[in-house]
Amino acid sequence: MNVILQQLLLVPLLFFVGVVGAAESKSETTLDEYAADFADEDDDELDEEEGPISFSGFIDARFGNRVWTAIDNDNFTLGEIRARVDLQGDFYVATMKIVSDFVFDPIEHPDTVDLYQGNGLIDLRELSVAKSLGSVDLKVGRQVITWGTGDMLFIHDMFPKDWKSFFIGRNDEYLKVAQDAIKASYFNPYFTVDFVWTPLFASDRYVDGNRISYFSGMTNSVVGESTEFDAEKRGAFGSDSEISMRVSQTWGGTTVALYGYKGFWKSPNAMRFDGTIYYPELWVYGASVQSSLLGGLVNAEYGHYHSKEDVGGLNPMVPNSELRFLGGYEHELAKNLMGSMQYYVEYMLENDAYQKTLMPGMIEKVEYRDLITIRLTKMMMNQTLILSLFSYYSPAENDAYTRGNIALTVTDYLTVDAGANVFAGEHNYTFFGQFESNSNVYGGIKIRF
Amino acid sequence: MKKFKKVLTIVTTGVALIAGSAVAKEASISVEKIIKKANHTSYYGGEDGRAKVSMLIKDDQGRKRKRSFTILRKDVGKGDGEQKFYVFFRRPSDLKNMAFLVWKHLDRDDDRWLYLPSMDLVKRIAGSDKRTSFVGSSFFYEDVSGRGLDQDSHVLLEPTETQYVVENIPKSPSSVEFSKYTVWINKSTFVPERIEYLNKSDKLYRTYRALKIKSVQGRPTVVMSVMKDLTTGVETINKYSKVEYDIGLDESVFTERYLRKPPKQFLKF
Repeated sequence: MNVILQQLLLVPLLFFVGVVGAAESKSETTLDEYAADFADEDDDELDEEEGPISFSGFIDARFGNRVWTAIDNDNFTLGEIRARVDLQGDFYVATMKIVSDFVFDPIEHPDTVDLYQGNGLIDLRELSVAKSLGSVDLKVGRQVITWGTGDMLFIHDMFPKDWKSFFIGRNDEYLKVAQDAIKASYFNPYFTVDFVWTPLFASDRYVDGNRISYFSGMTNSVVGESTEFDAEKRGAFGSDSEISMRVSQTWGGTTVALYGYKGFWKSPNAMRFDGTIYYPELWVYGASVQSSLLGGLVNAEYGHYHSKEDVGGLNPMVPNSELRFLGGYEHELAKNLMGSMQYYVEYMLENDAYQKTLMPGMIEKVEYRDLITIRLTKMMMNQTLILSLFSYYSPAENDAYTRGNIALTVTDYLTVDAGANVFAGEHNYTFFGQFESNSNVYGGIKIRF
Repeated sequence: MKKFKKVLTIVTTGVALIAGSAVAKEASISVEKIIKKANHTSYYGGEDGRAKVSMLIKDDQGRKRKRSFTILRKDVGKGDGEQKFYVFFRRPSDLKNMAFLVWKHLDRDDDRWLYLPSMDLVKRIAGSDKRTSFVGSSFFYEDVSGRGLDQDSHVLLEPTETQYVVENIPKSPSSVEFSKYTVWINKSTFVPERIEYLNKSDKLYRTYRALKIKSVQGRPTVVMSVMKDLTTGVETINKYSKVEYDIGLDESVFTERYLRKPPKQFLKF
């Protein structure tokens, strides 16, 4: 009897020992050990409801220099420290947002603050009030707006761009500039309408000789600082306004959109008889489609650029109308390696008329200018190291522009990056070829809070 | 003594019979039913759901990265089928206010969008790379939205005391980095409690463990889990708090409108 009892008791004992023994031999982290990892974690912060005000920001220090000899410009292309303040308030009555950079630029020392050019101490990127009223979302004030399917190529994104920032190594977000506008979006299950009214024309921050040298049709040579030009501002509130519209819908993974724009060419590309450079009138309309295909993404976009002041093409001082088309495809190439390619073309209308206006000494614009772009993005070390390459090549003009960047996220709060902008071209008067002397390398450190 | 022995025999036989019939009952639950129930418990609780997620990514040097986000989910379509997910990031600073939208499909690639507030950019992402890291963590996109049941063939192995054990072999081996993975599923709750992945050399390289399970609105819910990559030593611990089911999410929340304008009424809770 005793023997049996002992044996009966032994079984659970052995089982217990066996389990514990097994657990110890596996030496897996226990629940308590993992919980301890979160102990310094602001647990309560996660559980408690956040207040209406949220704040974030960063400090970004960045420096860039040319790699070839500068033409009519300094060797430095970039040298600044920016402090970003991002403040958002979600109140019952509306949502308010302020995003501003405070810029310390020891190289340029601009004396005045120009909120439209982003010069000076303050570069205001957003100052807006947003409200939803049923099926309509409204956003009023200074804001960045983006739409369209292109990657670093824009047909229907008629919102201002900062080409200088793009070329000298500031973060990608600086390519997009804010404008003062009213945006209204109406939603229903069948379609969405976005409507943007910009009462005061918001031009691109175009290349004007400052920092970036360009080819001047006046001197037929590459010039820079010495020949900084000013375009006639379109400052008439209301009459110098822009309207942008988009109607879109997504069915079964395919997004289709129709676009319309009434305003002006975004960079000053026309000249009056007295020599002033100005922004002529422009209407744009077209469509885009984007869908998944064979495990990747395909997109196509088409636009008619109607140059209202020179419909017949006979005015040599105003650009002709154009047709623009873009097609792209993106797919994973290998683990953590994404690739995409685009083909883009600008086709000049009324080219025969344009030919007749050419005068000796004028550089002829190609009838169609096409571009092939390639993007490669490689993520490594749990996405803390990202290598990016983006290249434009124009078969029509035989020039190219390559952007490379390596970014390392050291901690959640610190990122360092370095990169290069390389321009090359057969001729010094083509779109990218003219920027060859501006090729540069840059580095930056960003501390987030 | 003789009487005791007799009683012991009867008791033992009785226990054996009951245990035997229980085993017979277990064997009669097909592997298809087990994985279907496990899939339902993991991804399809209620008609919709939300949770606050705190994610800690730890590397083998002890360095930590944190992500905080809120995830909303809605079942669309019939049965355990298509779903829509909305993820809104609060931390860290470079992900703050970024939003991510997935329309999960069973018969084709998922549709995915990412919203970058600094550029007001709604960027569509190719849906094919399901087995790449979700925001730098050890979890893949596929772990977040669920792997299709018909992607693997399932074999029922010898169960443990408390768990069914299912081995899964991919039907399209070239599309994944594992040769097979084994899941330990709790017999009563059908929560997958452990998953072990073997690479193409049949070596264990990735493990998942459900660390803490709570009953939320009567549904067994994993509130703490860990995914570990044994080759790099990086592990990610997820903590789910304020989990809620059937909150009445409308399908319209899972659209571009709310990528640009986060649905605060569902995100602040």
